[in-house]
Amino acid sequence: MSFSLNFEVRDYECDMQGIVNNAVYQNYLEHARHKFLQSVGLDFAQLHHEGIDPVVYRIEIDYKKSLKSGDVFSVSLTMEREGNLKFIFNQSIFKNNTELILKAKVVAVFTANGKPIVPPQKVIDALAY
Amino acid sequence: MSKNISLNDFKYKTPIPIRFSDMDLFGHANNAIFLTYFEQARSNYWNEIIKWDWNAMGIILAKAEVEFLKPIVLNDELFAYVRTSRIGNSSWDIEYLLVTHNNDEAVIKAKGKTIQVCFDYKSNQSAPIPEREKQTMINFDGL
Repeated sequence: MSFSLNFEVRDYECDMQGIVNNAVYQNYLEHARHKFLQSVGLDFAQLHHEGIDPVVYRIEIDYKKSLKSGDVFSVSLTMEREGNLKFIFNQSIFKNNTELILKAKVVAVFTANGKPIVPPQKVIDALAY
Repeated sequence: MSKNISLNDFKYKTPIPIRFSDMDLFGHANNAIFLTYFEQARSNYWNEIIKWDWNAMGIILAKAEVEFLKPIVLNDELFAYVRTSRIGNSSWDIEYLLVTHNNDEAVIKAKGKTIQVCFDYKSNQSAPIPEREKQTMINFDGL
């Protein structure tokens, strides 16, 4: 399964070095994941009302190049399941669809009452779509 | 990240202010903010302990890892523990613990590691770590 979303760097996302601040990339990555979940019919608010919260357990980001103000870029992801509990998002950011900016591996789990759970079948089915 | 890392492995800790705007829809510090907490923590460490000369040499981030263990909430009293755990020629590793000290109980909320590289903005390329800063990191953290 793969998904991609287009973005443009905003001036206020850049630091005094004139490049996008390292922490901002995580916002791009997270927004792409959330839009992906929406695209397969998963609604965060609805899941929360049902007592189920997807959370990020671990993230690794490899920074290859920097984005600058006004750059147009895309965030892509593929998702795989590891064991029963872990959902792995492999994400990349490309500038102009060709230049690799970063790669990230994000490990997410679903929780209920703060404990990891196997998500309901409707979630598994949606993610397997 | 080193396994079985504990507070006793760190000589430096610094308070991290938590802002209302750090909180997400569920009242937890947003994932992305943890990297900002790490950035604040290492900046304090470099300024207070290493006395990094920012006019002579820049630093860029090559890799970041975060392990989210427990949520951080608005009224937590948060500290970052910071140490240099590896020194190379132009790159080095920093490890972090984000810890709350509520009611005298220390709780580790997150672990992290960053790899950074010296960057000379005059020549626009990576460069060796300046010798004085390198020795200060080695001596302070017992590498």
